Amino acid sequence: MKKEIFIVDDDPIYRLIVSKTIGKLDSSLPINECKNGEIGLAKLEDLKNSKHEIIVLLDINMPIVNGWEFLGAIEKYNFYNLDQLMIYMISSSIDTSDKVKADQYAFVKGFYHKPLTNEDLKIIIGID
Amino acid sequence: MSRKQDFLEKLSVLIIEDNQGDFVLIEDYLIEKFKLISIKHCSDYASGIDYLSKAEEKISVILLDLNLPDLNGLELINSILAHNFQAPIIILTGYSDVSMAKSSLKSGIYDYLVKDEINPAILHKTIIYALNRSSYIHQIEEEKHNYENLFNFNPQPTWLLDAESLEILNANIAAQKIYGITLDDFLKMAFTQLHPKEERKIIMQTLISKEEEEFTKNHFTHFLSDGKEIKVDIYFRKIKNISGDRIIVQSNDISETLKHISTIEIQNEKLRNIAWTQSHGVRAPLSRILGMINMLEEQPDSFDEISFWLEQLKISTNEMDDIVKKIVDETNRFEQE
Repeated sequence: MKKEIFIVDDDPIYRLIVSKTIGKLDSSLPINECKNGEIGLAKLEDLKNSKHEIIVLLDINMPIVNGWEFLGAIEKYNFYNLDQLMIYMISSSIDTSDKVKADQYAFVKGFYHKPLTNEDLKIIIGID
Repeated sequence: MSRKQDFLEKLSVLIIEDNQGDFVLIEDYLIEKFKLISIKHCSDYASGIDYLSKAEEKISVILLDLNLPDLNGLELINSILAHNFQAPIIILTGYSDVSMAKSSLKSGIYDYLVKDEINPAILHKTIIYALNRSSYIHQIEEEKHNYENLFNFNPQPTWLLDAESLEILNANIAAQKIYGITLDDFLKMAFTQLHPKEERKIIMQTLISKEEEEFTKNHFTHFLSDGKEIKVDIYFRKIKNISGDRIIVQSNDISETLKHISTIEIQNEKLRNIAWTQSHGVRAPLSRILGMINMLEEQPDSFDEISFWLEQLKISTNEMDDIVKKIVDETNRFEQE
């Protein structure tokens, strides 16, 4: 099945590191870099009704629309009718309150601390 | 006990007696019963007073004839008592004046002896009793004085209240100084007037209640004479004295303590913010640096890529350095505050 990756994060270096790492694991995967939640939401809306497996690596602290607002909007717009939307929260913070908050969203697939390692990404994108 | 030994060792008696025969008799009895005794004789009131006022030697006891040439009877008793001499006074009297002698016991005379009944044993017993009583009375007076000092010089504001009306009967020096209210003004007040209206009921109920309860609520407000408010804890004990039930009340100014607590709370909030910044701010560039090190370990394709990552490492490290400096600055500023 076709997969597509979204990196929603305001840090360009982080986005570069993640997309390069993913590129090395599987160079065929399309990667969308979004520098804030608003852009991320707009791009997801474009994919409305798609049957792709969509993997979102979502940062928490971002300008304009942050990670929590992003999750709220996803719920509000009924996941844009996307069948397979996998959302992972990726935070540089080690503050446990963020993890607790993320656990309240049943549709969030996982919570990772930065930096994401090769192993983390293999699990997230499903490569053995 | 030491006082008792003192007068047993060395007794000095002043006899104010105009009848030479009576004096000699009493002198004999005294010498018979007391081994170490010095006896001074004055034969009228004026010379007796004169001697007592100037005496260098401490007089242990005064034996006073009730009929002196220059003064007698009640007038004599009142005059000599007015001088407030330390030594106990024992009256020597005839049968005719016994009822007067008896009534003088109420006004401060220690005892009386009917001249015709005196013998060495009675004289001895009377003097020893008088000295013992005098010694106890002095002790009680000294203790009273000590308690007065404990009250007056206690650094905590302390009041003596009437247990029913809560009117102020006394206020110590600390209370006058800290509250800026003179003793005269305190004496016109009830203790509850130091409190704002809404606190008066609970103060009244707790202080007047039969049980000695502590206040369940603390931090009361007291007004000072300049209108300033202070926060206080209040402690009290009920006491009894001859004229009725009293309450001793102390206040402890905790305004500063409360201020310190609120300062600490503000500081804690700032420290929490600093900790948050540590967790978020520092970790952002740090996680990026760790990510870049991972990239470099993956054996980059070209020299250009290595220099790119090294340059980025430098930028992120500087960014982290700035954040650390900012945290140190904030912590310093907060310590100075």
